[in-house]
Amino acid sequence: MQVQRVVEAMLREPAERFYGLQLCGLTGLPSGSIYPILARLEDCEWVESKWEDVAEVDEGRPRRRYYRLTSDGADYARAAMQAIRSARLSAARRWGVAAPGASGAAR
Amino acid sequence: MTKNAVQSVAYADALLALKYSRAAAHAAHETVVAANSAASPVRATNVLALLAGNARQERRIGARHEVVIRSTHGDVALAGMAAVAKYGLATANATRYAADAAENAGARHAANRARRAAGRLESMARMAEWKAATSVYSPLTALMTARAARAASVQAARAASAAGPVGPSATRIMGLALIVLPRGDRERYLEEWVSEMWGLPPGWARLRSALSILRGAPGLGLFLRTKRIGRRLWRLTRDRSPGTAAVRGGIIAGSAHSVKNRRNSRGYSRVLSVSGKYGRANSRTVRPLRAGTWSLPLLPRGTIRCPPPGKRGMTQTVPRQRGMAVRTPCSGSL
Repeated sequence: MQVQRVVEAMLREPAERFYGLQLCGLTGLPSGSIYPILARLEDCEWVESKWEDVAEVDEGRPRRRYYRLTSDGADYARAAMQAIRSARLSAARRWGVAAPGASGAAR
Repeated sequence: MTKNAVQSVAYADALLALKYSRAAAHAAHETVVAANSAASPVRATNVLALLAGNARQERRIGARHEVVIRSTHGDVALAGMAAVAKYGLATANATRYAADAAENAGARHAANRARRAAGRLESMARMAEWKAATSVYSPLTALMTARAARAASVQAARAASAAGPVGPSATRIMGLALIVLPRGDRERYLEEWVSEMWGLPPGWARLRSALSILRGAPGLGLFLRTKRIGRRLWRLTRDRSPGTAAVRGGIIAGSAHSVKNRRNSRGYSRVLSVSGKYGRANSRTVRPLRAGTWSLPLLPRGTIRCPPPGKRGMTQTVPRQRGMAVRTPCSGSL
């Protein structure tokens, strides 16, 4: 679920680059959870990371490491999220309960 | 000044404090080495014996003995005392500079403590200098100076960490978290975490974030280590004839696959296809998942056969390239 939250947050702006603290804010996850997830996503090549190129003293802060979805990664992430959604829907239909998020959509 | 300008100046001072504290640590180390040589009579005896032996041999073979053995040559202990004084004073200076920078960055208490330690060290180093100059051999002074140098360098490091963006408690917690990471990844994650701390308000928020990092560090360390082991294992298995290779899976699950290899004309084996049960490979029974990812970073080229659920005969061939992650929308076993 935590991986999905990170992927969803990054998919909202696929071309945008995010740093760890920003993703913590977007997903509501603590830092301790974000970094292992980002390491896994990076290992799968869904996400690429790069140090920002700034003069630290001029900027008044240490440089950040930015993460961005790769083009393939964005496609795979979208397809995976779609598969998860359809799996949830089919499970909900089978058990005769409302799918998560379906009530909000109906309103 | 604007907030950004104030932050820039504070950060520059924190960096300076860090650099001077590192210089103090190096100088303190040299002081300890010099104190050990000053307090070690064995080394002095050895040098004297060596010089005397050389002189005897040169006299026996008729060569002119050029080396004049002066008291300063032989008396390594006194030379050690002089070195203790020199490096001790250098440590004191570096500690004082670190304290000044730390004070400018806002860490006044830590800076004062570092300054007091530097003062104590300087008085000890001056005494060692005077004793070395007047040929008074005093190993105790050398050892006490080395001890004061170590204490001063510790205070300089504390002042630097108090001046930095993170603060001493969070720094210690992050240091603990770093222990479980592989050596090669420590620097990257430390820098990343420090930059994250910089974006948080000082105090409880930073401490909470550091604690969260500490909680997640074992998982991260395990992943980073198994990633390497998995790659090594893949390297080991890829050259074998058809068999089963354990390949690390994607973000959702690991998997166990059978790998078909074929040697090409040059004799190198090439992975033809990867097939197997898709799911978690941490037990004997492989639990199928609904969707997931295979990531085979070292697979040069090949195909993944993946039948849709319920259609055992069909295969879906996905062309692969090196390092490409492939999503497999299948469930069940192959």
